[in-house]
Amino acid sequence: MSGRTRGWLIGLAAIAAIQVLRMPVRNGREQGGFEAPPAVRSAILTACFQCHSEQPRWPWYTQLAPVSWFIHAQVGEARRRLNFSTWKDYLYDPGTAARKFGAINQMVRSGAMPPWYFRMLSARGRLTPAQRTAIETWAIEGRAQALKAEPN
Amino acid sequence: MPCRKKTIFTFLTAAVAGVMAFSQPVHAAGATVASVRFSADHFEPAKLTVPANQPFKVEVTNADKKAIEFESFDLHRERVVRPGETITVYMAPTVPGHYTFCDDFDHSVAEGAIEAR
Repeated sequence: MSGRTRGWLIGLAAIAAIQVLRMPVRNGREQGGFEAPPAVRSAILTACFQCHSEQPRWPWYTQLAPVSWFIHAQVGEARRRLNFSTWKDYLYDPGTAARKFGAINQMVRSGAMPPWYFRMLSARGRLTPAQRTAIETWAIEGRAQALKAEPN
Repeated sequence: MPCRKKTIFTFLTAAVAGVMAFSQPVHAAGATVASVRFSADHFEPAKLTVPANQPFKVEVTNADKKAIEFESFDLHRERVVRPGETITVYMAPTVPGHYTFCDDFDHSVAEGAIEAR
């Protein structure tokens, strides 16, 4: 057996071995309550729900280590920061809603969201300029409404 | 649809959706108020007890010289509190349990907790 073949076999064996630690991402409880104009809702469902909700679709490669480790960490953090499945909860506290709307506007406007690796991996992550504008407009208006409702 | 009309349409639907969204929450006037004060890099008291299954409010006072971000990932709340400011955070009825909060601007600050029972 050549050194190169042995290297490949060792690599494959290592990838097979780490599958015991693959950490597949699980979806939690869907609370619902996310409402937005149709164009905005459609864009957010397509481009943001993949990480920022409890109802993403998981392609096969996201179940395989080490990709699953990375996805697990990214989705966990994304859900902690903004989870559209608990959107109704944010709206209960206008100050929190204003923060979330503000962050959405900032992230979409700056191009930080959706992240580059998602845009590279999936067409779902590539928002058109019109979709970005629609989300920004919605977020600006939502923030203004939240601040009006905020008694503090 | 021409671009200008589309933009106006999007703006109007966003405005209507925004008004609808914020006409929903009704905050009970007699809700329990729990107060917490932040100073010298810690929350005081570190543990608040509130009744479960009832709406409540948390009054957060920042007596420190730096801004904090009162954040509860468990209860989905995120608020910036400037130095010297007191804010009210509205909480929906929650099931009995232990919910943590922190200063998300500074993770060296010890976490606080809300006990609903």
